[in-house]
Amino acid sequence: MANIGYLQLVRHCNQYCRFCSNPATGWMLDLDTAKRAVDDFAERGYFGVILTGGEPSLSPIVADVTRHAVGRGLHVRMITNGSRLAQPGLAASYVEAGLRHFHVSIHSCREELEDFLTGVRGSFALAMQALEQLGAAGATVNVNTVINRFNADHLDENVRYFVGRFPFISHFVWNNLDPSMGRAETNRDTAHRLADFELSLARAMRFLHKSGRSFRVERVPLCYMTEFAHCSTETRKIVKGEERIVHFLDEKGTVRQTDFRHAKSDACKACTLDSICGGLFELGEHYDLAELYPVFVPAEDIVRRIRDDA
Amino acid sequence: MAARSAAREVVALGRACDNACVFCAQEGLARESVTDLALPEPGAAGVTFAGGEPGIDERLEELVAKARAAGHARIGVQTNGRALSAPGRIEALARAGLTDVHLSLHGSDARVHDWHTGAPGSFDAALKTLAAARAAGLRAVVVTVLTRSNFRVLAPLPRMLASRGVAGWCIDVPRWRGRAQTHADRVVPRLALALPFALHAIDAAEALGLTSFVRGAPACLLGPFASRALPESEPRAFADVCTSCPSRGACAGVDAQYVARFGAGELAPRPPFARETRAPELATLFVGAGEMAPLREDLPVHPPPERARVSLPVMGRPAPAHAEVPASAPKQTGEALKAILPDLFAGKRGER
Repeated sequence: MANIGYLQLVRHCNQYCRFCSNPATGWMLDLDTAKRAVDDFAERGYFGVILTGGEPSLSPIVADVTRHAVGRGLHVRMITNGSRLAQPGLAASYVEAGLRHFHVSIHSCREELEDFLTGVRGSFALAMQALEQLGAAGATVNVNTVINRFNADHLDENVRYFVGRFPFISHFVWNNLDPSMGRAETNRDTAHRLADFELSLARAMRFLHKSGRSFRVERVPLCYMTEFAHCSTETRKIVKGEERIVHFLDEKGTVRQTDFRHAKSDACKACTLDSICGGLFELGEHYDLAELYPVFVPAEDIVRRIRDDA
Repeated sequence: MAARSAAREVVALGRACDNACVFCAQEGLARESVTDLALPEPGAAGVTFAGGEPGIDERLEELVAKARAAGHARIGVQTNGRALSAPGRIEALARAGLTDVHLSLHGSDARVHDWHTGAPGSFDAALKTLAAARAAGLRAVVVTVLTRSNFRVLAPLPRMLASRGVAGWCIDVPRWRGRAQTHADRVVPRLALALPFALHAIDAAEALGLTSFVRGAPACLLGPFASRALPESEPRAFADVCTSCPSRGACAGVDAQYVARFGAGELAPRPPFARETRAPELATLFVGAGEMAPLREDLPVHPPPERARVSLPVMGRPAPAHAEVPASAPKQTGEALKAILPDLFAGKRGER
C-alpha cells in the first residue's frame, strides 16, 4: 500500500479557476501545525505527502515543511498552478529542499481557453514557463487536468501538445470535475456529461500508453475508461485497500477516506466491474446516472494488472 | 455496400415481442398484431416473416406453409429465438417450408445477451433455436446490435458463431429511435470507439470463414471494411463534412441526433471504395430493423462541448463559491487552526 496524505498549506490563490474545488477561506497552515500533520502521516506509515491548496507556492513554509517531511521518510509532492514557479530560482530552491515531484495543473493547451478557465490572462504562458523551469531543475513533472465542459472534447489534443513540447512529462492525472463543492457548484456552466469526454479521454490514454507514459483518472466510472480501467484512481485504491487523509483548511477539517465507492445505477448491478468501480461521484446530483451502463469485461484481469503494478 | 440480389420481401406479423431490448427501435409503436396479412408474390429473393417477434404469433407455421404452397422457395424468420426454442417448434416450421433463420444475438454469453434483451434465459433459448435450426438443415444468420455494453466483448462471438454453423453475421449500429433514443446515453456507442472493436471482430470472423457484414456505420469509420456495409431501408443523415465526400453515395450516413449530440469530429471524407460482390444472396437474409418508432422531438439532445465554447468571450468572471472569502482576506493560522483541525492538536494522534 502507498497511502498519501494531502496537506492544504493555504487556501488563497493567484488564479481564479471557474471550477475551483477549494477556494479561499482565509485559513493557512503555520509550520508547527504542518509538522504535526506530517508527523501523523509518518506515524501512520504513509508513503508521502502532497502539498496543495489553494496555491501552495504562496505559502512561506514550503521548503521547511518539505525538509521536515523528507526527514521523516516521506515522499513530497506539490500540486501547483505553476504561476510562481515560472520565475527563475523558485523551482530549483524547492528541488534543493527535497520537493522533486510536481503536479502542474493545466486544463487546456488552447491558450485562450486556459486563461479563461483559470480566470487570469497570461496563466497559460506562466504555466509553460513553469514547466521549463521544472524541467531544467530536474524535477519529476506531471500534468493535472480537471475535466470540464470546456475541455472535455480535446483531452487528447492536450497531451499531444504537452508531450510534444515537454517530452520529460511522464505522467498525467485527470480529475473529473467535482460539481459538489467550490466554484463548480456555483458555476454550473463548467459541468459536462460523461459522454462529452469519453472519446477524447480514450484517445489521450491510448496515446500516452503507446508512448510509454502513465496516467491516473479520478472520478470517472469504469464504463467510461474503455480498456484502461486499471488506471482509475478509485479502482486502484479499492483493489489495494488504500486510504487517504486530507487536511482541509475549511469546516470539513480532517477527512480520512477509506471508501472510494460512490453512487451506482441499477444498470451497474449487471456490470462485471461493479465491485471494483468507484461509480459516479456526486451521483445524480449533477451527473446523470442514466449515463452509466454495464460492461462485461473480466474484473480479474484488471485486479491482476493493478496488483502487478504495485 | 454489397452488390445485391433482389431484396427479401418482409411480412411483419405485428410488433408484440417477448424481449425488451435496450435498443429496440420499435419501442413506442402500437403493439397490436397485423390482421390483414397478405403474402407477396413468389420471387427470386423469397420472403422473411418478422415482427416484433414472429415466434410468438400462432399463425407463423400456417403462414410459412402458405408461402411454400404459393411457390416461395426461400422462406425465413427474423427472431430472437425465445419462443421458437420450444421443443418441436423449429422442426415444425422446417416441415412447413422454412429455409432460414435470422437470429438476434448480442453477446457471446448469457450475461451480456440477457442484459441487452432484458429477458433472463433469452441467451440459452436463442442458442437452442440456433442448434435446432442447424439440425433441421436450415440456414442461420446472426445479427448483433453494437452497443456501449457489448463492443468491448465482441471478440469471442465469431468463433462461437462459426462453430455453431452460422452462415453469416452482421453487426448493426443502433438507430437513434425507440428505446435507443430514450436511453441513448446508456445504449448508443461512440462510433469511433466502438467500431474498431467491431471491425476487429469482423476480421476475425472472416478468418474463420464466417461471412460478415456491418450496417448503419459511416463509411469513413469502416476503413477497409467499408465494402461489407449492407444497405438500410431508411437512410440516415449526413454532416456538413460529408458534402464533399467521394463515398457519400455508397455510405450509410449517421443519425442526425448523433451529430447533434457529438458533433462531426469523427467523420471525414474518404476515397471511394469498391463494392463487395460476394455473398449477395446471403446478404439478402439481413432484412433490417423494419418499421421504427418515429423520432421523439420532446427529448433533448445535449449539445457537444464545442457549442459551450462559442459563448466563451461573453462569459464573465465566475461566481464565487458559497463560503468563499476574497483571496486578500485576513489569514487565520497557528493556534486558531484548532477550530478546524482539532485532531492535529490532540495529545494522541493516529486514533482517527
